[in-house]
Amino acid sequence: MSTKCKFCNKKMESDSGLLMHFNDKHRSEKGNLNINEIKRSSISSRTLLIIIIACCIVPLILITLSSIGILSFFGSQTASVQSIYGITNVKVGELAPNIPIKLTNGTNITLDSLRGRPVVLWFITTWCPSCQESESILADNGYLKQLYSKGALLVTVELYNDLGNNGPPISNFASQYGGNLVQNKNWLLYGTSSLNATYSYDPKEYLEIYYVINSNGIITNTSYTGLVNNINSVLQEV
Amino acid sequence: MYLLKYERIVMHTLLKNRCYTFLLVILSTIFTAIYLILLPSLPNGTINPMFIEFITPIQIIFSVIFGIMIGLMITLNIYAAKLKIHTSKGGPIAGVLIGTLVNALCCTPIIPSILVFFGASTPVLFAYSPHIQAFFEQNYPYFYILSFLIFFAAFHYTAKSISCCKRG
Repeated sequence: MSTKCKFCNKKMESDSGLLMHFNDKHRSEKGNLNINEIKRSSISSRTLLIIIIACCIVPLILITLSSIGILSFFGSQTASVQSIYGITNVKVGELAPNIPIKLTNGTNITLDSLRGRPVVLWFITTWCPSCQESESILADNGYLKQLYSKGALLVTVELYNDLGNNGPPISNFASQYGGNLVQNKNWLLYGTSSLNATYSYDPKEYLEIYYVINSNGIITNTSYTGLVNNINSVLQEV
Repeated sequence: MYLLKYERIVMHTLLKNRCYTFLLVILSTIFTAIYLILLPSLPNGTINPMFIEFITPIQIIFSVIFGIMIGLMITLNIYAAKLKIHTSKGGPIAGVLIGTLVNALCCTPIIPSILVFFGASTPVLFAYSPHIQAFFEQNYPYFYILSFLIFFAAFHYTAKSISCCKRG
């Protein structure tokens, strides 16, 4: 560990170097001192690096544990607010809570009315670039047609009020990024969701989240890491 | 004329050596290519060349700038190491982190996960994380500029360290 001169902060590699420096620069004014009075320990760069890494890693571990549900400091608060608003928790392996969806053609449907076919329920914000890019890729690369060939419905739902940020209407989103492929297809539905539906299915306010629901209305899979990133597993699932 | 004095001295010295010039060109090309894939991919939380079709003109310009800056910083650091001159690595690392993280912060679940951990996500508060993410989405060019300035500061200090000992 390097040491610093207590009087002028000059960094020295060894005690003998420090002593020579003291004799040369400060002895006349400070008199005789022992080495511990002359030197001041400084944190070595390695120690500093370890501290910085620890400062980064500890929050990361806590955040990871929290996001996978092992650690939750604030779960009770969220749960109580959910109960006040009548919001249902959505879990894989359980029945998908019924929600109303207002379609772009003006009609209102419920999720329960779609039972009998596998449904991919994709919640998005229309202003989010990754959602826009996902829609383009799904349309251009034949993924939507593969979903159709498996008899599945893709229901793209705009999260309530676009999660508080103005984006294009869901109809514009569909035509702009989905192109001609998405026009007038009865197996591709676009709509908007209510506040309660948004917080039931996306309580953590991810910009996009999807659910794979089987023909009996049971949720078989969900992810917030992007539909297009997981499209192959979704195609297998349905 | 004292404008960019150290930078000009170092670049002149560096480009006189064919080996370093070649290294600079190769590294700049490689890092530009990496950035061309990285910048449009990161909002999707993955690194995939298929997202390159969504690259914006601003991202193309900054991919080239960042590629050249990183190539230059690595070449300069190799040159400095050969001269046994100590240089700081913090600046280029900070530049890389800011330039790339801003895209990931926009659309991946990083911000919601952090805010959920601190209990900021409830149905009553409509909502912190989408606003923060929208902020990064709308203002990413400013973060690119900040990243460039950090790169340039690192370049300046590295060039100053080298030119002081190399003059003459």
